[in-house]
Amino acid sequence: MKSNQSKNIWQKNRGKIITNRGGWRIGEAIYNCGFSMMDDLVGKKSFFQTLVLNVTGKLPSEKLAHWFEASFICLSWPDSRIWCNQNGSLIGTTQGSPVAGVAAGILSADSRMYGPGSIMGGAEFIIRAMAWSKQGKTPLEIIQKELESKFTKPGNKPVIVGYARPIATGDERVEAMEKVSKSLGFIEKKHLTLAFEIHKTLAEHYQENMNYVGYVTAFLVDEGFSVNEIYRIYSTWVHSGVHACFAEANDNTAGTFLPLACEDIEYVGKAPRKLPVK
Amino acid sequence: MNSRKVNIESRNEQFSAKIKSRITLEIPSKDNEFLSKTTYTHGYNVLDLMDHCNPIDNLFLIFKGELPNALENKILTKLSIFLMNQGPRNAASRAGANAGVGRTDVNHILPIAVMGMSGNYGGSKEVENAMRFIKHNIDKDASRVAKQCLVDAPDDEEGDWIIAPGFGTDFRGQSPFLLDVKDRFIKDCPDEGHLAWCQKFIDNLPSDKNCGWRLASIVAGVLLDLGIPPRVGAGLFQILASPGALAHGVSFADKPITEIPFLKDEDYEIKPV
Repeated sequence: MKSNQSKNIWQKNRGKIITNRGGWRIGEAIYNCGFSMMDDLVGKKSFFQTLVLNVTGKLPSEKLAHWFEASFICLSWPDSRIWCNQNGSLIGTTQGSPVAGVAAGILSADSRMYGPGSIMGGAEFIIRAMAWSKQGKTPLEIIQKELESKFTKPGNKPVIVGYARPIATGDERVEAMEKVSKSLGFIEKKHLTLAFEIHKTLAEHYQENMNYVGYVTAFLVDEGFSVNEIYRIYSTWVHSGVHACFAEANDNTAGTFLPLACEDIEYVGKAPRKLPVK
Repeated sequence: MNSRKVNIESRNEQFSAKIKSRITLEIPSKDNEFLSKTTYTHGYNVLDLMDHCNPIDNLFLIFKGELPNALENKILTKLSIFLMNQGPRNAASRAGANAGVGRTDVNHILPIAVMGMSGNYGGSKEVENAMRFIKHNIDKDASRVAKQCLVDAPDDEEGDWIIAPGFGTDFRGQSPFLLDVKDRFIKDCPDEGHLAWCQKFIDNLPSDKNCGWRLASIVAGVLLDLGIPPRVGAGLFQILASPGALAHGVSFADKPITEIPFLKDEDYEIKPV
């Protein structure tokens, strides 16, 4: 056990940055994880290869970068009813900057219910499920054990992250990404196989299905990515759809996206009252 | 593949036809339903609040639904003044300053600074987690909880020793300023309240290893004593801490980029891969 009760770690980092990632040496090169950006990456590697390199420090194959790109398209919905997208629309209609609109949309999707915010829960579940599977538990026993550990408000249905979806049941993106995985030549591995077994059992017993986060996290854990790496790579997952919603609202007449009249709000609070006398 | 195919079906959930608000009532003007004639906050006419209340009264009212009593106002006023300026070394101020000196649109300095104060180490996430920890344990014996935490979180990491959310060392010490701040609040908060429980918890942590208060535990205890729930605490911390972060950030918006250090190459070490 190491006990470090000194201030050394802060003292040695004062006024100094030590990095494994890289940086700019003016007049020499911009280094990125051992590569020279302008010589080795620009025009030679894809944006998604560079993104994964920046997050993980490792350059992925072109094939895996294609897979990531497809997986980002799956969250590029231009539907302004979806919460993160609508925030892009609201900032668009109030003539905010596109950077603020898209940044607000990205941050909105850091959610326990959808988007990158649900990745940690999804990835941790399939890792936990694999450990239970190795102990001999069946998919049904895994589901029951997971649901037992959930704190759920009375009357609410318990939910396993990665195996439920707001608004609809089923997820068309799973099938779409299965096609992408196969066309790129990926072989299904153990976490994804278990995820599909859980999916099938869950559908039979609980009428829920694996969602897109469940698919992506199982696939990427099989490909050797850590939970944190997956969360970080997908931080901006929804940004393309937010762009669409921002742009349209921003192009239209200011203030005309879903305007609300006073009576469109249902007031359920205290009736008008006088201030207490001090 | 076919056995895995699923039908995509709407859950047919019943969504509200209207947005509900228990905070604001707007009476529309007669000739334009988009314009308000009179506005109420939790039943009080906003014009009356403007004439007779101070901002802390109104802040408390918005979140709690009632105006504060004199002691609640005093505690929230103190918390506001304490958090309002956390100095230029704070991550939120530095994020704001980087935006300011980098000529970021001044509209963005505050949201950037707020994101800079959202973390789980010194930021609003630590406050929220500390609030949840205290709320979860408030009815338990503080010394027993402390003993369990000491077992669960041994001091085996570099950096600060975090014994529980919001509790531990602070740069491996205890800030004399924070301790003075805490003493001010202990005087005003209830004897058997959340902040008092925090004190009992800390009394059972090893003081010789500087394991005790962090800013988050002080803020969390005070907010809980004011009846603020953890889901509100993170954002309320951000509101109260925002003015100083914005002030530090925007103070660089008209300064040359040379006003903030840009490390020389010898102080920016790129380790070989």
